[in-house]
Amino acid sequence: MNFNLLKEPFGGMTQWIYQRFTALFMTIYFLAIGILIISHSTFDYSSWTYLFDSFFVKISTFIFFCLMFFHAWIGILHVTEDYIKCSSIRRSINFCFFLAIVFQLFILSYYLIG
Amino acid sequence: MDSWLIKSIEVIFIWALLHHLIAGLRHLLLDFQIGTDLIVARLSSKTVLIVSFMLTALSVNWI
Repeated sequence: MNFNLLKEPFGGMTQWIYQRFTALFMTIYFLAIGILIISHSTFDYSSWTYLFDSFFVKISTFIFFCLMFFHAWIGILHVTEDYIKCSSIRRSINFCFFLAIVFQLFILSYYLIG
Repeated sequence: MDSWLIKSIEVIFIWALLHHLIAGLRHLLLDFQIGTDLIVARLSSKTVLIVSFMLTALSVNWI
């Protein structure tokens, strides 16, 4: 592997590495939460609130969604780059996705903190 | 959440998530040069499809 390719801050190789590491964290989070939910025979509203009262769960959920948005952003960039040839349309679509991600980050912060 | 419409939308999203997760794990293995032979890669891609459907079917029971 040519590590010089990682020197470019948002180059192809750097994006590839980001995509893998975010995926790894998200897999661990998903499995942990999934096992926690499945292992309780009755998982109702009070169990949800009890689980998400924990600071550790809150902060890891926040990190999970931030990484998910980053992962999705890189994915969207790649898909639009592959399929939309006109650069002005591509940039407008990318911008729409960017706005959607920022909006969802605000909603996420509202639910986790507020 | 008893409406069949809501439930089917939930099932579609759960399938998308599980399929993306399992296919992503396959891609991670491929990145480590595991299962890059043509026969193995084709078999694993079919396995991903089947396993994601099976896990989705299990989750339907849970919803």
